[in-house]
Amino acid sequence: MGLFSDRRHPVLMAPGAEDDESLRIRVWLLGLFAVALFAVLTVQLVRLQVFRHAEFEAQATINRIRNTTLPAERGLIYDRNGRPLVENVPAFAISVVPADVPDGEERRIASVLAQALGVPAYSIEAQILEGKRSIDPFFARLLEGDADQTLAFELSAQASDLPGVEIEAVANRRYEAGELLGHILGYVGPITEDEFAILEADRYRISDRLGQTGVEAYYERTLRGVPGQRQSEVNAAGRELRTLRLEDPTPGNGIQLTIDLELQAAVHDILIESMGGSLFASAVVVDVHTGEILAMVSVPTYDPNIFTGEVDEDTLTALLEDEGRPLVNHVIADQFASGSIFKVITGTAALSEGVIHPDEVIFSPGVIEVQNEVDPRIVYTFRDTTSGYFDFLRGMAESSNVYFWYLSGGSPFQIAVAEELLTPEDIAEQRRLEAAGIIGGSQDFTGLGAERLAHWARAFGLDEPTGIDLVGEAAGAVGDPEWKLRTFGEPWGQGDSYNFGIGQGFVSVTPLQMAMVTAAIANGGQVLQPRVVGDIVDADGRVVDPFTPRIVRQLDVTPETLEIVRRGMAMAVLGGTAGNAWFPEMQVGGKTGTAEFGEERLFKDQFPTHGWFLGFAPYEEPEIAIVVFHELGSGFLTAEAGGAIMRAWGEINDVFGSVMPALGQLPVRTVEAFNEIARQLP
Amino acid sequence: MATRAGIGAPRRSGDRSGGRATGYNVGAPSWRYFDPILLVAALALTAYGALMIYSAALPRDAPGVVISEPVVRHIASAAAGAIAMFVAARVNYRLLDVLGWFAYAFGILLLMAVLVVGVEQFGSRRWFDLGFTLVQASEIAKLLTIIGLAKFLTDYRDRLHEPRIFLLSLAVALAPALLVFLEPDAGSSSVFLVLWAVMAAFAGASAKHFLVLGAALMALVPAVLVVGVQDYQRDRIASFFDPESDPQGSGFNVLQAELAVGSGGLTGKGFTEGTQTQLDFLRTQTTDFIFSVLAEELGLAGAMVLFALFLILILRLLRAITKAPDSFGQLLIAGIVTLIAVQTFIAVAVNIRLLPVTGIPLPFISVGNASMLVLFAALGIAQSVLLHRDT
Repeated sequence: MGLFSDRRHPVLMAPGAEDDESLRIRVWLLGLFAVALFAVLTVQLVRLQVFRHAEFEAQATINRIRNTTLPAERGLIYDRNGRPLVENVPAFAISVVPADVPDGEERRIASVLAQALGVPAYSIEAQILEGKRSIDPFFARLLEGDADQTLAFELSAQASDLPGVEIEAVANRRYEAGELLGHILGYVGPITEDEFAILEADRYRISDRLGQTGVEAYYERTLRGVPGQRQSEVNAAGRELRTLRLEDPTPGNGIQLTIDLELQAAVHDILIESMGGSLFASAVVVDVHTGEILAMVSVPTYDPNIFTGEVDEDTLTALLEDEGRPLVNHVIADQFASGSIFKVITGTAALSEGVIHPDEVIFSPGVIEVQNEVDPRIVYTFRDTTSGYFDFLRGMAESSNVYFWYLSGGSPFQIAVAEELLTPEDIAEQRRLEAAGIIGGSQDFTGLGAERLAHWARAFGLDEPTGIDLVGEAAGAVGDPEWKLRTFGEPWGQGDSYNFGIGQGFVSVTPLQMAMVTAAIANGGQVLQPRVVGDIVDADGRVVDPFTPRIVRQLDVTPETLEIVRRGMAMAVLGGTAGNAWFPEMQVGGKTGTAEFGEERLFKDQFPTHGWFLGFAPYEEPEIAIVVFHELGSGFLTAEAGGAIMRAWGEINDVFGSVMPALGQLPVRTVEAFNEIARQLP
Repeated sequence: MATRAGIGAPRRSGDRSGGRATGYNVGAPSWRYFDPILLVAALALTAYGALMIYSAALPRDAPGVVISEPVVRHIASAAAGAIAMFVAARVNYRLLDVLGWFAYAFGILLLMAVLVVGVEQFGSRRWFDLGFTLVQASEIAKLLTIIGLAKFLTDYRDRLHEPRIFLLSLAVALAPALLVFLEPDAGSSSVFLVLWAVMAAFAGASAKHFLVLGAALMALVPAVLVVGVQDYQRDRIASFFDPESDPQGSGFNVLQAELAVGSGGLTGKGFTEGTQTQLDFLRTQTTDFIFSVLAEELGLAGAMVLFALFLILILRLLRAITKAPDSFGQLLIAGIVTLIAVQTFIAVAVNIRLLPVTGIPLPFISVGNASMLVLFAALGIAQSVLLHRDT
C-alpha cells in the first residue's frame, strides 16, 4: 500500500472512523512533505551561513571595496651639470573594463569611443566582447595611453553614458635630448598584461608606464616614488560612494646622470663622422677616479620618444631591420674579440709577473712558427705586420705581435734568427744587445702561460659584467685551458696562448669592460664599477643618496709597472700604431686594436676586422679613459676618433693650457729617434 | 461517464446537513469557525515582506526613512488581498465545485490569451498589462487549476485507480503547464505539475502509477533538454551548475545572491545594513532575490523566523483539511498548502543555489500584485471551507 490508500478503501468517502484515520495519515504526509522542503532549505542555509560564512563574508568585502591607486609623480633626470633631460607631460589614459560594459551596450560604446579615438569601432567592440569572455573581465583594456586633455574632457562629460569606460590621468615622458641619450635613459612604455600580473601587487595600474630599458628601467623604483591609495566603497555599478581611507603618494626621486650632455653630443658627432662603412660604432668616456661615465654613445641610436606613446609600426620595423641594430647599446651589450688593445693587459701582467724586464729586447722576424703538440709534422705559422727588435715601449707602440706572443706563450720551439735573414741594421743591433748582455743568442723565453694571463684578464674585470647601472650588459668571455677542454674537448696549445696574448681566439670583451681596464691602468690599478647615475635627489633637489665610487678590486700591480704601460701607450700615439690619436694640445696615451672576426676571409689570409682604440688623458695626471669601437674598421682609423674624443673632452672642460701639450710625433722610424722621444716623456 | 451526470447533484459525501439538503447548499457561513491564526500568520508574513522590500528599495543616495513605491504597492496589494480573502471566505466554496470547470476553463483561456496579448519582458510573454499594474497570468491560473484538479479528483475519486483516469487527471494540470511553458516560464510550469502530483497523491492515486510515470519521464529527459529547452533556460541551468562560467552574465545574480546569503551569517549584517543589497550587487531585490536581502541583513535567525511563520500558516491549513466537511474541500486546501509550500521552496532555493533561477515570487514576501491577491484569495477559500463546514 505504501504512501497511498488502496482502492478497496475509497479514501474520500463519507465520514467514518476508517476515513478519519486515512485522512489523518494523508494530512500528516502532506505536512511531512512541507516540512521536508523547509528542512532541505534549512540545511543549505546552515551550510552557507554558518560553515562557509567566513569565505562569503570575505568575498562580499572584496565586492564592495575598491582600491584606487594614486600615482606618484615620476622623478626627473638631469645631466651632471644639472641640465634637465626629461619632462613629465600630463596625459590621459582611456581604457575599458569589459565586465562593466552592460550586455548589449558594447556596440554603442565602441562606436562612441571609436569616434573619439579615431580607431575602428569593430576592433573596440571585439576587444570588449573578448574581454568579457576572458578569465579576467575586470582587467581594464587600455585603448589609448596618451590622450590629450580635450579628448579626456569630452569623454568625461559623457561618462554616465559610457559605463565601463575609465579615464585616468597619467604622466607621459618627453626626452629632451632625443636620440642623444636613447641608450642611457631608455624610455617608459606601456605595461604588458604579463608584466602587470607581477607588478599589480606593487600598485601599478595598467595605464601606468614602466621603465623599459636604460636608466628608466634600472632606476624604476627610485624614479617611480610610492603611489598612494584611496580605498572607497563602491556599488555594483562601480560608482564610488564614500572614501574609507586615503594615503597620499610620495613623488619619485630625481636622478643626476654622470653624463655630460655636451661631451655626449660631441662624441656622438665624432662617431657619426668616423663611421665610414661601419654598420655601427660605439664610444665611452669614463672618469678614471670614480668610474663615472661621462659619455656613452652607440650609433646608430634611436629616439626614446617614439616608444612613449603608440609605437608607429613602420618606425619600429625600420629600427628592428636596421643592420646596425639601433636598439642595442653596443657599448655594453655587444662583445667582440679585443684584438691588440688586449696587449695592455698582457703587458701589465708580464711586467708584474717578472716575465720580462721592460728593457729586455725580443727579436721579431715578423713570423713565428709553432709545431702541433700532437703531430709535429703540422706547423702553424703566425705572421706579424712588423718586425725587428722590440723592448717593451717599442713592442707596445708598434703593437708587435711577436713581442706579445713571447710574453704570453714564450718562445716557439724553433725560430729563425740566422743573420742571413736580417738587414745589416738589425744585425748590428742584435750584436750590440748581445754585447750588452741584454739578450742571449738562444732567445729562450718563458711566457706568462694561459692560466696567469687568464687570471690577470679576470682581475682587470673581464669575463664578468662590470656592474654598470644599466640593463642588458654582456659579460664577455675569457677562455682558459680548462674552459677549452670543457667546451671543445681539446687541450690548450701554445698557439692558443699566443692568440690569447694579443686578444684573439677565446677572448671577447665589451667596449665598456675595456674602458674600465684602461681606467685601472690610468688610476693606479683600481678596477671600478662604472656608473651612469650620480646623486639621487628628492623632489626639492636635496641629495638623498650621494654618489660614491665603488671599487671592484685593487690590482696587485706597482705604480712603476703601470707607468711603463702608460708610457708605452703614449709612445703608441707619438711613434706607433696610434699616431692618428695625436693632437697638439694635450699629451695622451692610446692603444689600437684591429681584431679579426668571423670565419670568412675577405681574401687570402685576410679576415674582416673591427677597429678598436683605447686611451687615457691627460698623460701626466690621467682623468679620463676612453674606448672607441668601429664595426668593420681598423684600429688606425679608430684612433683618429679616439683622439678627437679626448680633444673634445679637453676643450669642454677647458684643460688645455694647464696640461702637458703633446710631444712631437716620431719624424723617422728609427730606434734612436724613438728612444729620444721616449726620454722626453716625464 | 457516470460521474459526469453527477454534476449538479448535491454532494452527499460532504453534506452534513442530512436530509435538509435541497439543491446547492449556500447557507450562511459560520464566522465562529474563522481561523484568525491563519490570517495573522499571512499578515505577519506580509509585514515581514514589507520590511524587506523597504530595505531593498531604500534609495541609495538619500538617507533616512523612505517609504518607497514598492512598499506601498506591497501593502496595497496585501490590503486588496485581505478583502479578497474575506469575500472568498464569505462565498460557499461549494460554488467552486459547481463552477469548477468554468473556473478551470477561464484559467486556460487566460493562459492562451496572454500568449497573444500579453506584454513581453525579459524575452518572455507572461503578463497582462492592466495599465496600472502587470498581472502574471499563471499566478491566477494556478489557483484556478487547483480548483479544476480538486473537482476532477473528487468527481473521479472512485476510478482514480484506472490508468486512464490517472492520466486524465494529469492532463488537467498538463494543459496549463504546457501553455505556461510556451510563454516561456519553465519554473511556473513545473509548479502546475507538482500541484497535480501532490493533489493526486493526496486523493489516493496509486503509487505504482507514479512510479511508472516517473520512469517514463526520466527516459524523456534527454530529449526534452535538447528539443524543448529555450536558450535562456539552458543559460540559466548552465549558470546554475557553474555560475563562474559566466560571472557577469546569467551567473552573476546567482553568485551575488549566494554571496549575500553566505555573508549574512547567523544574525545578519543588520536591517538596511546589507552591503550586497544596499550597494546593488543583488539584482531584482524586491522580487526574485528578496530572500537574499532577508538572509543577508537578518541572517539565519531571520530566515528561521520566516520559515516558522510559513510553517504556522501551513499547519493551520493542514488543520483546516481535517475540519473540511468533504473531499472537495480537503483537496482544495491540500492544493493551497502545496502551492504555498512549493512556491516558497522554489523561491528560496533559487537564492541559495539549490535550483536554477525561475522567477517565482516568494509568497507574501516578494513585492506582489497578482500573486499576493491570489494567495490571499486562496486562504479565503480555505477559510470558506472552515466557515461552511456545517452548511
